[in-house]
Amino acid sequence: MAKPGVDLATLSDQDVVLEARAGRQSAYRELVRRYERPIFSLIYRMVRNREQAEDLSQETFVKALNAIESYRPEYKFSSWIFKIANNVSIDHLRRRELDTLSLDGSPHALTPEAIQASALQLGDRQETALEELEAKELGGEIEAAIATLRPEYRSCILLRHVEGRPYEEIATMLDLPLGTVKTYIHRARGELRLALAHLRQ
Amino acid sequence: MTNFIATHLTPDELDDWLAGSLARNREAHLHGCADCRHLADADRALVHLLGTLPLFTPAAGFSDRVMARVEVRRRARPVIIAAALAAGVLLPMAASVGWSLANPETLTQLLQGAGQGLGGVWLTAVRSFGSTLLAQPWYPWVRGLFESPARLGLVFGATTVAYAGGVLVLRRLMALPTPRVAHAEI
Repeated sequence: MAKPGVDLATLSDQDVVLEARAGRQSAYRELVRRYERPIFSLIYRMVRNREQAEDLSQETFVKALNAIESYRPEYKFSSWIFKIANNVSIDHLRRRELDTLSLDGSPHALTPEAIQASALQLGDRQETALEELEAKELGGEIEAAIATLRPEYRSCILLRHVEGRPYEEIATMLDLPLGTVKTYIHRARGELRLALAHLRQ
Repeated sequence: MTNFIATHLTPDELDDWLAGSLARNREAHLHGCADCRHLADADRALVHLLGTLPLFTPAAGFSDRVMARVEVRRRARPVIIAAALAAGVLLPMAASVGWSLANPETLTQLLQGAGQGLGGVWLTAVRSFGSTLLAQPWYPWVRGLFESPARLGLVFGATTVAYAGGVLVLRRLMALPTPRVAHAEI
């Protein structure tokens, strides 16, 4: 374990995890500081809703940090936390898909008010300040093109070309065979090339 | 060989080209093939564009909100655990030695009394066990097994096989199932 005076920012992820396991609260904060932006960005691009991305990022960190004892140091901490973030996002997208399948409201809604609240509203949509911010942040052509990809392709392409993770690490993170990861990324690149072809012309 | 060089680049080879590690003969194909050149240039532009995407920042106070839901567990340091264990063993031992040195007569009396008492109890238990064993209806049959070396060998062999089998079964039963995912199972 590092000496109490040692600056946590200079330590490797593995060493910071050791400090966290020893009960040092500043080590937990250091892990959040290191990964809050990459994790939030990945999730935001997956779910394309700032508020939900905040909640899911929080859920990712809470899950990871509360289970820090089960983290195995032979794996990269980044792989571990990105894997949790990806699982949280995919689960959320599946739930959201179920919820938005019905125009009459969420199948999970139990009261008339909840059914009304979760029903898809057409025509009366007013853009809030948050939505304006989202439109600004995710409004670029490339962001819009990424949004059209299947979630599996989206997480693979984001991890590979935005986060710069190697194929093997992505395969480990997503529990997919290496060949599948390569196929997803090549297909995603193909779809993005097509979607952005007009920019090149 | 000519066919190999004439074949268009595969997605893996495009990756190699992006990483600057495409084989020389494939580089030659790339320079001479307009289709592959177009695809490679488009991929390079796309990868560059993806690489320049900004990182987003969550709302202020994100770290505090996370920490409010995280349970920071303080794990005792190994030195403290070792010291506690040592104290737990050594302190009673030291107290016992100290008391014995201070009260030698009482200790001698206690030991003598206990020795006599325990000796009597032990002898009675052995006698009782022996007589119970001899009174069992299966005792002559068991005794008969030990009279012939061949039977004794057979019994010994069967017992060894049964014991080894039992150990194997127990090991299988007590083995933890291998998790499907190597890590991050939450």
